[in-house]
Amino acid sequence: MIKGFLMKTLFIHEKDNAYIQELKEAFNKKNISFQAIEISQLGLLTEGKETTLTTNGFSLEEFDSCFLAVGVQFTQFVEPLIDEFSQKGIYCQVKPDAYSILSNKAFQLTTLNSHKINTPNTTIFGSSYFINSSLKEFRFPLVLQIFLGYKKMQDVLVESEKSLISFVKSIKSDFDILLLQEFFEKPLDVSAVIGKEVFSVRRSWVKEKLEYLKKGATRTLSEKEQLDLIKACNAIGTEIATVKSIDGNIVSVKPFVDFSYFQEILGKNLYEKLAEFYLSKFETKGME
Amino acid sequence: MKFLYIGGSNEKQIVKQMILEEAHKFFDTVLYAPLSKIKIECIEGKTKLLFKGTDLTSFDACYARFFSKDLMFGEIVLDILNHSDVFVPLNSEGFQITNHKYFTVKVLSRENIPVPISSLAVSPQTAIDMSHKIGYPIVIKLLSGFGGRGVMRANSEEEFKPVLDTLKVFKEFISTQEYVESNNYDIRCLVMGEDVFGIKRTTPAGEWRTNVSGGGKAEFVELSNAMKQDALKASTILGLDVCAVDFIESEGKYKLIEVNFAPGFMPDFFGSKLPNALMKFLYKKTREIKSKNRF
Repeated sequence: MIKGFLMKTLFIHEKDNAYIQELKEAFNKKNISFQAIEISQLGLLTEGKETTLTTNGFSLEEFDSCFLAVGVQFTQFVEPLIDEFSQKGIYCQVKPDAYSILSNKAFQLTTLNSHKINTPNTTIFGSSYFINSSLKEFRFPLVLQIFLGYKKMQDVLVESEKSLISFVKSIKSDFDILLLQEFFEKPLDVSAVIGKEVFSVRRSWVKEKLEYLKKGATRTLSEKEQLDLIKACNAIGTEIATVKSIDGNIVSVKPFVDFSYFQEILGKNLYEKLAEFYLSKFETKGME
Repeated sequence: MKFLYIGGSNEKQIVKQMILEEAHKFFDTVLYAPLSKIKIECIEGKTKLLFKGTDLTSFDACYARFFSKDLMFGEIVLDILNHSDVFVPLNSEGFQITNHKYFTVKVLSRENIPVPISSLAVSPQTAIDMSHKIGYPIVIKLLSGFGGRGVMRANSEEEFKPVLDTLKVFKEFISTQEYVESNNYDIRCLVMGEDVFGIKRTTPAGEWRTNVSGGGKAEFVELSNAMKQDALKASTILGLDVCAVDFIESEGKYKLIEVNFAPGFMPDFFGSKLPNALMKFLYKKTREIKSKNRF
Protein backbone atom coordinates (compact mmCIF):
# COMPACT_ATOMS: atom_id res chain seq x y z
CA MET A 1 0.00 0.00 0.00
CA ILE A 2 1.22 3.48 -0.81
CA LYS A 3 1.96 5.54 2.24
CA GLY A 4 -0.97 7.79 3.18
CA PHE A 5 -3.40 6.19 0.69
CA LEU A 6 -6.02 3.56 1.41
CA MET A 7 -6.00 2.14 -2.12
CA LYS A 8 -4.65 2.72 -5.60
CA THR A 9 -6.83 3.07 -8.70
CA LEU A 10 -5.72 2.86 -12.33
CA PHE A 11 -7.73 5.05 -14.68
CA ILE A 12 -7.63 3.78 -18.28
CA HIS A 13 -8.88 6.30 -20.80
CA GLU A 14 -8.93 7.24 -24.48
CA LYS A 15 -6.81 10.00 -26.00
CA ASP A 16 -7.54 13.54 -24.74
CA ASN A 17 -9.73 12.60 -21.80
CA ALA A 18 -11.01 15.81 -20.25
CA TYR A 19 -11.67 14.50 -16.76
CA ILE A 20 -8.26 13.32 -15.56
CA GLN A 21 -7.58 16.27 -13.26
CA GLU A 22 -11.07 16.33 -11.71
CA LEU A 23 -11.04 12.59 -11.13
CA LYS A 24 -7.56 12.69 -9.62
CA GLU A 25 -8.61 15.42 -7.19
CA ALA A 26 -11.81 13.60 -6.22
CA PHE A 27 -10.01 10.27 -5.68
CA ASN A 28 -7.12 11.85 -3.75
CA LYS A 29 -9.66 13.61 -1.53
CA LYS A 30 -10.96 10.17 -0.54
CA ASN A 31 -7.44 8.96 0.19
CA ILE A 32 -7.22 6.98 -3.03
CA SER A 33 -4.05 7.16 -5.09
CA PHE A 34 -4.93 7.69 -8.76
CA GLN A 35 -2.89 7.02 -11.87
CA ALA A 36 -4.14 7.70 -15.40
CA ILE A 37 -2.97 5.93 -18.56
CA GLU A 38 -4.10 6.09 -22.16
CA ILE A 39 -5.30 2.73 -23.44
CA SER A 40 -2.94 2.88 -26.45
CA GLN A 41 0.01 2.62 -24.08
CA LEU A 42 -1.13 -0.76 -22.81
CA GLY A 43 -0.23 -4.18 -24.11
CA LEU A 44 -0.94 -7.75 -23.02
CA LEU A 45 1.75 -10.40 -23.24
CA THR A 46 1.07 -14.08 -22.62
CA GLU A 47 4.00 -16.38 -21.99
CA GLY A 48 3.43 -19.86 -20.63
CA LYS A 49 0.71 -19.67 -17.98
CA GLU A 50 1.33 -16.01 -17.22
CA THR A 51 -0.13 -12.88 -18.78
CA THR A 52 1.39 -9.49 -18.01
CA LEU A 53 0.01 -6.05 -18.69
CA THR A 54 2.79 -3.99 -20.20
CA THR A 55 2.64 -0.30 -19.40
CA ASN A 56 4.92 2.66 -19.05
CA GLY A 57 6.99 1.17 -16.33
CA PHE A 58 4.45 0.22 -13.69
CA SER A 59 3.00 -3.12 -12.79
CA LEU A 60 -0.67 -4.06 -12.68
CA GLU A 61 -0.13 -5.71 -9.30
CA GLU A 62 0.35 -2.25 -7.74
CA PHE A 63 -3.34 -1.47 -8.17
CA ASP A 64 -6.40 -2.53 -6.16
CA SER A 65 -8.86 -1.27 -8.71
CA CYS A 66 -9.33 0.06 -12.19
CA PHE A 67 -11.74 2.57 -13.66
CA LEU A 68 -12.09 1.93 -17.35
CA ALA A 69 -13.50 4.76 -19.48
CA VAL A 70 -13.16 3.78 -23.12
CA GLY A 71 -15.65 3.37 -25.95
CA VAL A 72 -16.94 0.11 -27.34
CA GLN A 73 -14.59 0.36 -30.33
CA PHE A 74 -11.93 -0.97 -27.94
CA THR A 75 -13.94 -4.11 -27.10
CA GLN A 76 -11.42 -6.50 -28.68
CA PHE A 77 -8.69 -5.14 -26.43
CA VAL A 78 -10.86 -4.53 -23.39
CA GLU A 79 -12.33 -8.05 -23.04
CA PRO A 80 -8.93 -9.77 -22.52
CA LEU A 81 -7.91 -6.85 -20.30
CA ILE A 82 -10.95 -7.22 -18.03
CA ASP A 83 -10.34 -10.96 -17.98
CA GLU A 84 -6.87 -10.19 -16.64
CA PHE A 85 -8.24 -7.87 -13.94
CA SER A 86 -10.65 -10.59 -12.94
CA GLN A 87 -7.84 -13.19 -12.80
CA LYS A 88 -5.69 -10.92 -10.63
CA GLY A 89 -8.54 -9.95 -8.28
CA ILE A 90 -8.40 -6.27 -9.26
CA TYR A 91 -11.77 -4.56 -9.08
CA CYS A 92 -13.04 -3.08 -12.33
CA GLN A 93 -16.50 -1.57 -12.78
CA VAL A 94 -17.14 -3.72 -15.86
CA LYS A 95 -17.21 -7.50 -15.63
CA PRO A 96 -15.86 -9.99 -18.19
CA ASP A 97 -18.13 -10.26 -21.23
CA ALA A 98 -19.87 -6.93 -20.47
CA TYR A 99 -18.21 -5.07 -23.36
CA SER A 100 -19.36 -7.76 -25.80
CA ILE A 101 -22.91 -6.92 -24.78
CA LEU A 102 -22.38 -3.16 -24.48
CA SER A 103 -20.90 -3.04 -27.99
CA ASN A 104 -23.92 -4.70 -29.58
CA LYS A 105 -27.21 -2.85 -29.06
CA ALA A 106 -29.33 -5.79 -30.16
CA PHE A 107 -27.50 -8.05 -27.69
CA GLN A 108 -28.19 -5.47 -24.95
CA LEU A 109 -31.90 -5.60 -25.69
CA THR A 110 -32.15 -9.40 -25.72
CA THR A 111 -30.10 -9.57 -22.50
CA LEU A 112 -32.31 -7.01 -20.74
CA ASN A 113 -35.44 -8.70 -22.06
CA SER A 114 -34.30 -12.07 -20.72
CA HIS A 115 -33.82 -10.44 -17.29
CA LYS A 116 -37.42 -9.17 -17.38
CA ILE A 117 -36.34 -5.54 -17.65
CA ASN A 118 -38.68 -3.29 -19.64
CA THR A 119 -37.43 -2.44 -23.12
CA PRO A 120 -39.32 -1.08 -26.13
CA ASN A 121 -40.77 -3.79 -28.38
CA THR A 122 -38.04 -4.56 -30.90
CA THR A 123 -37.54 -6.78 -33.94
CA ILE A 124 -33.98 -7.65 -34.92
CA PHE A 125 -32.86 -8.80 -38.37
CA GLY A 126 -29.51 -10.04 -39.67
CA SER A 127 -30.45 -8.92 -43.19
CA SER A 128 -33.34 -7.18 -44.92
CA TYR A 129 -34.77 -10.41 -46.45
CA PHE A 130 -37.93 -10.85 -44.41
CA ILE A 131 -38.73 -7.31 -43.39
CA ASN A 132 -41.42 -6.94 -46.04
CA SER A 133 -43.16 -10.15 -45.00
CA SER A 134 -43.27 -8.88 -41.39
CA LEU A 135 -44.84 -5.52 -42.25
CA LYS A 136 -48.27 -6.38 -40.85
CA GLU A 137 -46.73 -7.01 -37.42
CA PHE A 138 -45.33 -3.49 -37.04
CA ARG A 139 -46.99 -0.52 -35.42
CA PHE A 140 -45.70 2.79 -36.73
CA PRO A 141 -43.83 5.06 -36.11
CA LEU A 142 -40.72 2.93 -35.60
CA VAL A 143 -37.09 3.70 -34.97
CA LEU A 144 -34.87 1.96 -37.55
CA GLN A 145 -31.21 1.48 -36.72
CA ILE A 146 -28.52 -0.25 -38.74
CA PHE A 147 -25.22 -1.46 -37.31
CA LEU A 148 -22.00 -2.58 -38.94
CA GLY A 149 -19.63 -3.94 -36.35
CA TYR A 150 -19.69 -1.55 -33.38
CA LYS A 151 -20.79 1.35 -35.55
CA LYS A 152 -24.32 2.68 -35.87
CA MET A 153 -24.65 3.41 -39.60
CA GLN A 154 -28.24 4.68 -39.67
CA ASP A 155 -30.77 5.91 -37.12
CA VAL A 156 -34.07 7.09 -38.59
CA LEU A 157 -37.68 7.46 -37.61
CA VAL A 158 -39.95 5.55 -40.00
CA GLU A 159 -43.56 6.67 -39.97
CA SER A 160 -45.32 4.27 -42.34
CA GLU A 161 -45.14 0.92 -44.14
CA LYS A 162 -44.42 2.75 -47.34
CA SER A 163 -41.45 4.68 -45.99
CA LEU A 164 -40.07 1.51 -44.37
CA ILE A 165 -40.22 -0.39 -47.67
CA SER A 166 -38.59 2.46 -49.53
CA PHE A 167 -35.90 2.90 -46.87
CA VAL A 168 -35.06 -0.81 -46.83
CA LYS A 169 -34.83 -0.76 -50.63
CA SER A 170 -32.37 2.11 -50.46
CA ILE A 171 -29.90 0.23 -48.23
CA LYS A 172 -26.93 -0.42 -50.45
CA SER A 173 -24.16 -1.13 -47.97
CA ASP A 174 -23.44 -4.26 -45.97
CA PHE A 175 -24.63 -4.39 -42.35
CA ASP A 176 -24.63 -6.83 -39.43
CA ILE A 177 -27.85 -5.93 -37.69
CA LEU A 178 -31.03 -4.06 -38.54
CA LEU A 179 -33.24 -3.17 -35.65
CA LEU A 180 -36.82 -1.90 -35.69
CA GLN A 181 -37.98 -0.48 -32.41
CA GLU A 182 -41.22 0.90 -31.05
CA PHE A 183 -41.06 4.69 -30.80
CA PHE A 184 -42.46 6.70 -27.89
CA GLU A 185 -43.15 10.34 -28.50
CA LYS A 186 -42.13 11.14 -24.95
CA PRO A 187 -39.17 12.73 -23.16
CA LEU A 188 -35.91 10.86 -22.88
CA ASP A 189 -34.41 10.26 -19.44
CA VAL A 190 -30.61 10.10 -19.44
CA SER A 191 -29.21 8.68 -16.21
CA ALA A 192 -25.74 8.25 -14.80
CA VAL A 193 -25.67 5.08 -12.72
CA ILE A 194 -22.85 4.91 -10.18
CA GLY A 195 -23.21 1.74 -8.14
CA LYS A 196 -26.58 2.06 -6.43
CA GLU A 197 -27.01 5.76 -7.08
CA VAL A 198 -28.86 7.17 -10.07
CA PHE A 199 -28.57 10.76 -11.35
CA SER A 200 -31.03 11.71 -14.06
CA VAL A 201 -31.58 14.41 -16.62
CA ARG A 202 -34.72 14.72 -18.77
CA ARG A 203 -34.48 15.77 -22.42
CA SER A 204 -37.69 16.86 -24.14
CA TRP A 205 -38.79 15.63 -27.56
CA VAL A 206 -39.02 18.39 -30.16
CA LYS A 207 -41.56 17.18 -32.68
CA GLU A 208 -40.78 19.83 -35.28
CA LYS A 209 -37.11 18.87 -35.41
CA LEU A 210 -37.69 15.16 -34.79
CA GLU A 211 -34.99 15.12 -32.10
CA TYR A 212 -34.45 15.43 -28.37
CA LEU A 213 -33.29 18.72 -26.89
CA LYS A 214 -29.57 18.51 -26.19
CA LYS A 215 -29.91 20.45 -22.94
CA GLY A 216 -31.82 18.63 -20.27
CA ALA A 217 -33.35 19.42 -16.89
CA THR A 218 -33.06 17.77 -13.49
CA ARG A 219 -35.26 14.74 -13.20
CA THR A 220 -35.91 12.44 -10.27
CA LEU A 221 -36.92 8.94 -11.30
CA SER A 222 -39.25 6.87 -9.15
CA GLU A 223 -37.67 4.32 -6.84
CA LYS A 224 -38.84 1.51 -9.12
CA GLU A 225 -37.40 3.17 -12.21
CA GLN A 226 -34.08 3.69 -10.43
CA LEU A 227 -34.00 0.04 -9.35
CA ASP A 228 -34.73 -1.04 -12.93
CA LEU A 229 -31.78 1.00 -14.19
CA ILE A 230 -29.44 -0.55 -11.62
CA LYS A 231 -30.84 -3.99 -12.46
CA ALA A 232 -30.17 -3.32 -16.16
CA CYS A 233 -26.55 -2.42 -15.44
CA ASN A 234 -26.13 -5.58 -13.36
CA ALA A 235 -27.68 -7.73 -16.09
CA ILE A 236 -25.14 -6.40 -18.57
CA GLY A 237 -22.28 -6.57 -16.08
CA THR A 238 -21.38 -2.98 -15.28
CA GLU A 239 -21.73 -0.86 -12.16
CA ILE A 240 -21.13 2.50 -13.83
CA ALA A 241 -22.98 3.49 -16.99
CA THR A 242 -25.16 5.97 -18.79
CA VAL A 243 -28.63 4.53 -19.25
CA LYS A 244 -31.21 6.04 -21.56
CA SER A 245 -34.87 5.31 -20.90
CA ILE A 246 -38.25 6.46 -22.11
CA ASP A 247 -41.33 6.03 -19.98
CA GLY A 248 -39.61 3.33 -17.90
CA ASN A 249 -38.39 1.39 -20.97
CA ILE A 250 -34.63 1.09 -21.27
CA VAL A 251 -33.38 2.15 -24.68
CA SER A 252 -29.61 1.86 -24.29
CA VAL A 253 -26.76 1.33 -21.83
CA LYS A 254 -23.37 2.93 -22.51
CA PRO A 255 -20.16 2.12 -20.63
CA PHE A 256 -19.10 5.69 -19.85
CA VAL A 257 -20.51 8.78 -18.14
CA ASP A 258 -20.18 12.35 -19.35
CA PHE A 259 -19.48 13.70 -15.85
CA SER A 260 -19.40 17.38 -16.77
CA TYR A 261 -22.76 17.15 -18.60
CA PHE A 262 -24.50 15.83 -15.51
CA GLN A 263 -22.61 18.15 -13.18
CA GLU A 264 -23.62 21.20 -15.20
CA ILE A 265 -27.32 20.33 -15.13
CA LEU A 266 -27.64 18.72 -11.72
CA GLY A 267 -25.07 20.80 -9.84
CA LYS A 268 -23.70 17.64 -8.24
CA ASN A 269 -20.08 16.57 -8.20
CA LEU A 270 -20.22 13.14 -9.83
CA TYR A 271 -16.42 12.81 -9.74
CA GLU A 272 -16.70 12.66 -5.97
CA LYS A 273 -19.61 10.23 -6.18
CA LEU A 274 -17.43 7.98 -8.29
CA ALA A 275 -14.54 8.23 -5.81
CA GLU A 276 -16.94 7.44 -2.95
CA PHE A 277 -18.15 4.39 -4.88
CA TYR A 278 -14.58 3.14 -5.37
CA LEU A 279 -13.87 3.72 -1.69
CA SER A 280 -16.94 1.65 -0.81
CA LYS A 281 -15.48 -1.19 -2.90
CA PHE A 282 -12.31 -1.05 -0.83
CA GLU A 283 -14.30 -1.03 2.42
CA THR A 284 -16.41 -3.99 1.27
CA LYS A 285 -13.25 -5.88 0.32
CA GLY A 286 -11.72 -5.02 3.70
CA MET A 287 -14.70 -6.51 5.49
CA GLU A 288 -14.59 -9.80 3.56
CA MET B 1 -36.64 -35.66 -32.49
CA LYS B 2 -36.33 -32.30 -34.22
CA PHE B 3 -33.02 -30.97 -35.45
CA LEU B 4 -32.16 -27.44 -36.54
CA TYR B 5 -29.12 -26.51 -38.59
CA ILE B 6 -28.19 -22.82 -38.84
CA GLY B 7 -25.72 -21.89 -41.56
CA GLY B 8 -23.53 -18.80 -41.39
CA SER B 9 -22.35 -16.45 -44.10
CA ASN B 10 -19.29 -18.32 -45.40
CA GLU B 11 -20.87 -21.73 -45.48
CA LYS B 12 -19.85 -24.04 -48.29
CA GLN B 13 -22.73 -25.63 -50.16
CA ILE B 14 -21.17 -29.10 -50.06
CA VAL B 15 -20.68 -29.04 -46.28
CA LYS B 16 -24.25 -27.83 -45.76
CA GLN B 17 -25.57 -30.60 -48.00
CA MET B 18 -23.58 -33.30 -46.20
CA ILE B 19 -24.69 -32.13 -42.76
CA LEU B 20 -28.33 -32.11 -43.83
CA GLU B 21 -28.07 -35.54 -45.48
CA GLU B 22 -26.56 -37.03 -42.33
CA ALA B 23 -29.05 -35.20 -40.10
CA HIS B 24 -31.94 -36.86 -41.95
CA LYS B 25 -30.46 -40.29 -41.09
CA PHE B 26 -30.76 -39.62 -37.36
CA PHE B 27 -33.50 -37.07 -36.70
CA ASP B 28 -37.22 -37.25 -37.54
CA THR B 29 -37.48 -33.60 -38.55
CA VAL B 30 -34.69 -31.48 -39.96
CA LEU B 31 -34.86 -27.75 -40.64
CA TYR B 32 -32.22 -25.64 -42.30
CA ALA B 33 -32.25 -21.92 -41.45
CA PRO B 34 -29.66 -19.54 -42.87
CA LEU B 35 -28.56 -17.13 -40.14
CA SER B 36 -29.22 -14.10 -42.34
CA LYS B 37 -32.90 -15.02 -42.62
CA ILE B 38 -33.57 -15.40 -38.91
CA LYS B 39 -35.61 -12.81 -37.03
CA ILE B 40 -35.51 -12.03 -33.30
CA GLU B 41 -38.53 -10.53 -31.60
CA CYS B 42 -38.37 -8.88 -28.19
CA ILE B 43 -42.05 -8.18 -27.62
CA GLU B 44 -43.81 -7.58 -24.29
CA GLY B 45 -40.92 -9.07 -22.32
CA LYS B 46 -40.69 -12.25 -24.40
CA THR B 47 -37.86 -13.12 -26.77
CA LYS B 48 -38.60 -15.21 -29.85
CA LEU B 49 -36.21 -16.65 -32.41
CA LEU B 50 -38.05 -17.14 -35.68
CA PHE B 51 -37.49 -18.43 -39.19
CA LYS B 52 -40.44 -18.08 -41.56
CA GLY B 53 -42.78 -18.10 -38.57
CA THR B 54 -41.26 -21.23 -36.97
CA ASP B 55 -40.12 -20.85 -33.37
CA LEU B 56 -36.50 -22.06 -33.43
CA THR B 57 -36.45 -22.71 -29.69
CA SER B 58 -38.99 -25.51 -30.21
CA PHE B 59 -36.31 -27.89 -31.57
CA ASP B 60 -34.56 -30.63 -29.60
CA ALA B 61 -31.08 -29.99 -30.95
CA CYS B 62 -29.28 -27.41 -33.00
CA TYR B 63 -25.90 -27.12 -34.67
CA ALA B 64 -24.65 -23.80 -36.03
CA ARG B 65 -21.73 -23.05 -38.33
CA PHE B 66 -20.94 -19.37 -37.82
CA PHE B 67 -17.92 -17.43 -39.05
CA SER B 68 -16.25 -14.21 -37.97
CA LYS B 69 -18.52 -12.10 -40.16
CA ASP B 70 -21.51 -13.55 -38.27
CA LEU B 71 -20.30 -12.46 -34.83
CA MET B 72 -22.70 -9.60 -34.05
CA PHE B 73 -25.92 -11.41 -34.99
CA GLY B 74 -24.69 -14.96 -34.39
CA GLU B 75 -23.72 -14.36 -30.75
CA ILE B 76 -27.27 -13.20 -29.98
CA VAL B 77 -28.85 -16.17 -31.74
CA LEU B 78 -26.58 -18.56 -29.84
CA ASP B 79 -27.23 -16.79 -26.54
CA ILE B 80 -31.00 -17.17 -26.99
CA LEU B 81 -30.61 -20.86 -27.88
CA ASN B 82 -28.24 -21.39 -24.93
CA HIS B 83 -30.95 -20.05 -22.62
CA SER B 84 -33.62 -22.31 -24.12
CA ASP B 85 -34.26 -26.05 -23.85
CA VAL B 86 -32.59 -26.73 -27.20
CA PHE B 87 -29.38 -28.76 -26.96
CA VAL B 88 -26.66 -26.72 -28.67
CA PRO B 89 -23.09 -28.02 -28.45
CA LEU B 90 -21.81 -24.46 -28.82
CA ASN B 91 -21.66 -21.68 -26.29
CA SER B 92 -22.14 -18.02 -27.23
CA GLU B 93 -19.14 -16.96 -25.12
CA GLY B 94 -16.99 -19.63 -26.77
CA PHE B 95 -17.98 -18.18 -30.14
CA GLN B 96 -16.85 -14.71 -29.01
CA ILE B 97 -13.55 -15.98 -27.63
CA THR B 98 -12.62 -18.17 -30.60
CA ASN B 99 -13.29 -15.19 -32.85
CA HIS B 100 -10.39 -13.50 -31.09
CA LYS B 101 -7.13 -15.35 -31.62
CA TYR B 102 -5.21 -13.68 -28.81
CA PHE B 103 -8.05 -14.08 -26.28
CA THR B 104 -8.32 -17.79 -27.12
CA VAL B 105 -4.62 -18.34 -26.39
CA LYS B 106 -4.79 -16.23 -23.22
CA VAL B 107 -7.76 -18.11 -21.77
CA LEU B 108 -6.35 -21.55 -22.58
CA SER B 109 -2.77 -20.84 -21.48
CA ARG B 110 -3.74 -20.41 -17.86
CA GLU B 111 -5.03 -23.98 -17.79
CA ASN B 112 -1.56 -25.24 -18.67
CA ILE B 113 -2.20 -25.81 -22.36
CA PRO B 114 1.06 -24.98 -24.17
CA VAL B 115 0.72 -21.91 -26.43
CA PRO B 116 3.16 -19.72 -28.36
CA ILE B 117 4.21 -16.46 -26.68
CA SER B 118 1.46 -14.07 -27.78
CA SER B 119 0.70 -10.38 -27.46
CA LEU B 120 -2.05 -7.86 -28.06
CA ALA B 121 -1.57 -4.12 -28.47
CA VAL B 122 -3.56 -1.05 -29.43
CA SER B 123 -0.68 1.07 -30.71
CA PRO B 124 2.14 0.19 -33.13
CA GLN B 125 4.84 1.36 -30.68
CA THR B 126 3.60 -0.99 -27.94
CA ALA B 127 3.45 -3.81 -30.49
CA ILE B 128 7.07 -3.14 -31.52
CA ASP B 129 8.18 -3.06 -27.88
CA MET B 130 6.50 -6.41 -27.29
CA SER B 131 7.86 -7.94 -30.50
CA HIS B 132 11.35 -7.62 -29.00
CA LYS B 133 10.19 -9.55 -25.94
CA ILE B 134 8.76 -12.28 -28.20
CA GLY B 135 11.81 -12.33 -30.48
CA TYR B 136 11.87 -12.33 -34.33
CA PRO B 137 10.60 -13.87 -36.52
CA ILE B 138 7.07 -13.11 -35.34
CA VAL B 139 3.67 -14.01 -36.75
CA ILE B 140 1.08 -11.24 -37.05
CA LYS B 141 -2.54 -12.33 -36.98
CA LEU B 142 -5.77 -10.52 -37.67
CA LEU B 143 -7.82 -11.17 -34.53
CA SER B 144 -10.71 -12.72 -36.39
CA GLY B 145 -9.02 -14.03 -39.54
CA PHE B 146 -9.76 -17.61 -40.56
CA GLY B 147 -8.62 -20.28 -42.96
CA GLY B 148 -5.02 -19.07 -42.73
CA ARG B 149 -6.08 -15.66 -44.05
CA GLY B 150 -4.84 -12.57 -42.25
CA VAL B 151 -1.68 -14.34 -41.04
CA MET B 152 1.65 -12.67 -41.84
CA ARG B 153 5.25 -13.21 -40.83
CA ALA B 154 7.87 -10.57 -40.09
CA ASN B 155 11.53 -11.48 -39.73
CA SER B 156 12.58 -8.14 -38.31
CA GLU B 157 11.30 -4.80 -37.02
CA GLU B 158 11.87 -3.36 -40.51
CA GLU B 159 9.50 -5.96 -41.97
CA PHE B 160 7.02 -5.50 -39.12
CA LYS B 161 6.63 -1.71 -39.53
CA PRO B 162 4.82 -1.68 -42.93
CA VAL B 163 2.42 -4.35 -41.64
CA LEU B 164 1.67 -2.10 -38.67
CA ASP B 165 0.93 0.80 -41.02
CA THR B 166 -1.63 -1.37 -42.83
CA LEU B 167 -3.24 -2.56 -39.60
CA LYS B 168 -3.52 1.06 -38.48
CA VAL B 169 -5.36 2.02 -41.66
CA PHE B 170 -7.91 -0.75 -41.02
CA LYS B 171 -8.11 0.17 -37.31
CA GLU B 172 -7.09 -3.36 -36.35
CA PHE B 173 -5.64 -4.24 -32.97
CA ILE B 174 -2.22 -5.82 -33.24
CA SER B 175 -1.93 -9.46 -32.31
CA THR B 176 1.49 -11.09 -32.61
CA GLN B 177 2.87 -14.51 -31.80
CA GLU B 178 6.23 -16.22 -31.61
CA TYR B 179 6.94 -18.04 -34.88
CA VAL B 180 6.94 -21.78 -34.34
CA GLU B 181 8.58 -23.80 -37.12
CA SER B 182 5.79 -26.08 -38.29
CA ASN B 183 7.74 -28.68 -40.32
CA ASN B 184 5.15 -28.05 -43.06
CA TYR B 185 2.24 -29.53 -41.15
CA ASP B 186 -0.08 -28.98 -38.21
CA ILE B 187 -2.34 -31.28 -36.24
CA ARG B 188 -6.02 -30.53 -36.12
CA CYS B 189 -7.92 -32.15 -33.27
CA LEU B 190 -11.54 -32.27 -34.27
CA VAL B 191 -13.51 -32.57 -31.04
CA MET B 192 -17.02 -34.02 -30.97
CA GLY B 193 -18.03 -34.51 -27.36
CA GLU B 194 -15.50 -36.92 -25.92
CA ASP B 195 -14.31 -38.13 -29.32
CA VAL B 196 -11.30 -36.51 -30.90
CA PHE B 197 -10.26 -37.04 -34.52
CA GLY B 198 -6.58 -36.35 -35.21
CA ILE B 199 -5.94 -34.85 -38.64
CA LYS B 200 -2.52 -34.02 -40.01
CA ARG B 201 -2.70 -31.08 -42.43
CA THR B 202 0.27 -30.60 -44.72
CA THR B 203 1.04 -27.29 -46.37
CA PRO B 204 1.24 -26.92 -50.15
CA ALA B 205 4.76 -26.36 -51.48
CA GLY B 206 6.12 -22.89 -50.76
CA GLU B 207 3.45 -22.11 -48.13
CA TRP B 208 4.19 -21.87 -44.41
CA ARG B 209 0.57 -21.52 -43.26
CA THR B 210 -1.22 -24.84 -42.91
CA ASN B 211 -4.70 -24.83 -44.29
CA VAL B 212 -6.34 -27.29 -46.61
CA SER B 213 -8.64 -24.66 -48.11
CA GLY B 214 -5.42 -23.05 -49.35
CA GLY B 215 -4.44 -26.22 -51.22
CA GLY B 216 -2.92 -28.42 -48.49
CA LYS B 217 -3.50 -32.12 -47.78
CA ALA B 218 -5.17 -33.86 -44.86
CA GLU B 219 -5.00 -37.37 -43.37
CA PHE B 220 -6.12 -39.03 -40.15
CA VAL B 221 -3.38 -39.62 -37.56
CA GLU B 222 -3.15 -41.23 -34.15
CA LEU B 223 -2.98 -38.54 -31.45
CA SER B 224 -0.76 -38.60 -28.41
CA ASN B 225 -2.76 -38.87 -25.20
CA ALA B 226 -1.41 -35.51 -23.99
CA MET B 227 -2.53 -33.67 -27.12
CA LYS B 228 -5.92 -35.36 -27.05
CA GLN B 229 -6.43 -34.38 -23.41
CA ASP B 230 -5.42 -30.77 -24.12
CA ALA B 231 -7.84 -30.61 -27.05
CA LEU B 232 -10.65 -31.89 -24.81
CA LYS B 233 -9.65 -29.45 -22.08
CA ALA B 234 -9.76 -26.54 -24.56
CA SER B 235 -13.21 -27.55 -25.79
CA THR B 236 -14.51 -27.81 -22.21
CA ILE B 237 -13.08 -24.42 -21.15
CA LEU B 238 -14.61 -22.72 -24.17
CA GLY B 239 -17.94 -24.52 -23.84
CA LEU B 240 -17.68 -25.93 -27.35
CA ASP B 241 -18.53 -29.63 -27.57
CA VAL B 242 -17.79 -29.41 -31.27
CA CYS B 243 -14.72 -27.49 -32.44
CA ALA B 244 -11.28 -27.91 -33.99
CA VAL B 245 -8.20 -27.36 -31.85
CA ASP B 246 -5.08 -26.77 -33.94
CA PHE B 247 -1.57 -27.57 -32.74
CA ILE B 248 1.89 -27.11 -34.21
CA GLU B 249 4.61 -29.64 -33.38
CA SER B 250 8.20 -28.56 -33.11
CA GLU B 251 11.24 -30.22 -31.56
CA GLY B 252 9.16 -32.96 -29.97
CA LYS B 253 6.78 -30.50 -28.30
CA TYR B 254 3.46 -29.05 -29.40
CA LYS B 255 1.72 -25.71 -28.99
CA LEU B 256 -1.93 -24.78 -29.49
CA ILE B 257 -2.24 -22.09 -32.14
CA GLU B 258 -5.98 -21.59 -32.43
CA VAL B 259 -9.44 -23.02 -31.93
CA ASN B 260 -11.88 -23.10 -34.81
CA PHE B 261 -15.56 -22.59 -34.01
CA ALA B 262 -16.85 -23.87 -37.36
CA PRO B 263 -14.32 -26.40 -38.63
CA GLY B 264 -14.49 -27.54 -42.22
CA PHE B 265 -15.15 -31.26 -42.67
CA MET B 266 -12.68 -31.61 -45.55
CA PRO B 267 -14.98 -33.71 -47.80
CA ASP B 268 -12.28 -34.04 -50.47
CA PHE B 269 -10.24 -36.14 -48.06
CA PHE B 270 -12.75 -37.77 -45.74
CA GLY B 271 -16.06 -37.87 -47.64
CA SER B 272 -19.03 -37.77 -45.27
CA LYS B 273 -17.23 -39.47 -42.37
CA LEU B 274 -16.98 -36.33 -40.22
CA PRO B 275 -20.53 -35.00 -40.76
CA ASN B 276 -21.72 -38.53 -39.96
CA ALA B 277 -19.73 -38.58 -36.71
CA LEU B 278 -21.09 -35.13 -35.85
CA MET B 279 -24.70 -36.20 -36.30
CA LYS B 280 -24.12 -39.42 -34.38
CA PHE B 281 -22.76 -37.38 -31.47
CA LEU B 282 -25.57 -34.80 -31.58
CA TYR B 283 -28.24 -37.47 -31.76
CA LYS B 284 -26.79 -39.50 -28.88
CA LYS B 285 -26.34 -36.45 -26.66
CA THR B 286 -29.84 -35.10 -27.41
CA ARG B 287 -31.38 -38.48 -26.62
CA GLU B 288 -29.48 -38.62 -23.32
CA ILE B 289 -30.66 -35.13 -22.34
CA LYS B 290 -34.25 -35.91 -23.27
CA SER B 291 -34.35 -39.15 -21.33
CA LYS B 292 -32.79 -37.43 -18.28
CA ASN B 293 -35.38 -34.65 -18.41
CA ARG B 294 -38.18 -37.22 -18.48
CA PHE B 295 -37.53 -38.09 -14.82
